[in-house]
Formats: sequence, C-alpha cells, structure tokens
Amino acid sequence: MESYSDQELLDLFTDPVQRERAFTLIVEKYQRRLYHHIRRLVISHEDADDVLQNTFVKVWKGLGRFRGGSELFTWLYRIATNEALNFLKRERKNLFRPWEGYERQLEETLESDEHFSGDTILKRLHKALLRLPEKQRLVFNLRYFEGMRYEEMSRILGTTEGALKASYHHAVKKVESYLRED
Amino acid sequence: MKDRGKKEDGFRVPEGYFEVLPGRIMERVRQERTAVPLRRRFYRVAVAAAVALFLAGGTWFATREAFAPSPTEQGLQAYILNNEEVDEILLYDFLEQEEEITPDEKNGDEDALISYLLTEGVDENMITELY
Repeated sequence: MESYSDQELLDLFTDPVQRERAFTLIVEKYQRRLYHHIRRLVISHEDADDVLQNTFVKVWKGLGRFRGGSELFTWLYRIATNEALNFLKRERKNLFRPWEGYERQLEETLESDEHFSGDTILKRLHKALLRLPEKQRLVFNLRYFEGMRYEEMSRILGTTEGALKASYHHAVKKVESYLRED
Repeated sequence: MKDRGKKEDGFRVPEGYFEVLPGRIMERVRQERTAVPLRRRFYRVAVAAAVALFLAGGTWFATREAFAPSPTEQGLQAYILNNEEVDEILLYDFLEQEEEITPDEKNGDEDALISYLLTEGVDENMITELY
C-alpha cells in the first residue's frame, strides 16, 4: 500500500475525482487503531464494527470541512470516542436486564467472546476496567494500551493534562485494588 | 503499573475483517449520499406545501371581510327582490323619488296638503298659522 502523510491524504480528498480513493486510504490507515480504541470501550466485536462504521461515515461527512486545525488522527479519535460513548449511553438506557447493570452484561460478553485471545490475567484486567467510571476507563485505555501522551489525550478529550493524570492515577489504584480482591 | 508504550489488548477480529472494511464503509457512504438528497427533497416539498397552505389560509382570513356583501343600494335592491315579495316597479319608483326630490315638488306637496285641509273644513287662519 502506498504510504501517504495525513496532509497528502487531505489534499487528495479536496480533488472530487480522487475523493473516494483518499477516503479509502484514510480508512485503511486508521481502521485498526480506531477499531481497538472502540472495542476496548464497547467490548463486543459486532458493536465495535457498528460504531467504527458510523465513525467513518461521520468522518466522510465532515472531512470536507476539516481545516487541519488539529491533527487528522486527533480529530478521528475524537469522533470515534464520541460515537463509542454515545453508543454506551444508548445501550445503558435500553438494557435487556436492567437490574443486572450494563457493566455486568459487558463482563458476560467478554467472558463468552470468541474474538478474545488474551490470557486469564488480561481478561481479569478488562473485567477490572469495566468497574471503573467511564472517563477513567477511557483515560486508562489510551494511556496503558496505546501509550498515548497526555498532551495528545488532552487534545482528543478536551481535558487538561493535570485532570487526565489524576484520572489515570485513580484508575491505576482502583484496578490494582480490584485485581488484589479477585 | 508502569507505562511501556503500546500493549496487546487481546481483542481479535474475524479473518479478513480489515481487508473488506474499507469497501463496506465506502458502500455505506454511497448509500447515505443517495439517501440524503431524497430526504432533503422531501423536506423542501413539505416546507413549500406548508408555506403555501399558510399563505392561502392567511389570505382567506384577511380578505373574507372584504368579500362580505356591503349594504349598498344595489345590494339592498337585490336582497329585497330575492327575499321579499316586493313589486319591482314600486321599488324603483320609490328609489327614484328619493333621489329626485326638488324644492318645487316639496312646495307642491305643501299646496296639496293645504287644499286637502281646506276641503276637510279646517279653519283657514289656523292653516295660515301653521304654514
């Protein structure tokens, strides 16, 4: 696959003849990173697939207005995060078994997930993460699994670096505590 | 727990998923592109119909007083002729008389009244006092 910079892809997108090709190249470049970012939040592959597709449809609609005020990858992550959080909010409202709580259902999904190949410890870590408040889970995922810098995270989530560091610190403490309990 | 860059999260995808995903997304984008103009066209027609209905209703409301029959002479004539058993010739005579009264004729009426009073035996002096 040809390797294009984000700026080259954005320039290509402005050409009506090349627009679809440029968009396909953007999808190919970022689909894996965005998929895993979404999947860690929604857990099931089918849900992650839906949210990822919705994310890219929104990217297509908004890309013509994207002026490069932020990096393309920051903008993509912001859309994907919003889509995933909105999905979780909707799912919480439409729970099949509301008395059990949404996190419990996500745990069950993880337990029976045929597309999960992690070991027992990794599964325990994901289950512990499901007990965290959503924002702490999001910050933990970006920092721990993606190794994202606080500065980048701050641009995606619109939160100060200090607040993100505090969130991550609390998340780590809670996860350690949950893992010791189990 | 220390940060050591990217870590494996254990989540997998069905085989070939990322190979076909760009094509599936492009297909959805094309579907949305054709669906959106249809929806927009429907909204445009709906808005135009609503505006036309509003204007027609407003025009009717504003002009219904203007179209109501005014009590003109012609209207009155038509009403009487249509609704009452009035002799047409008498009605026109009456209207013409109303329009054509002159001071001379008024005096003629006075004279006729005086001669009538005289024939009825009313005192001449009394009549002179009155007129």
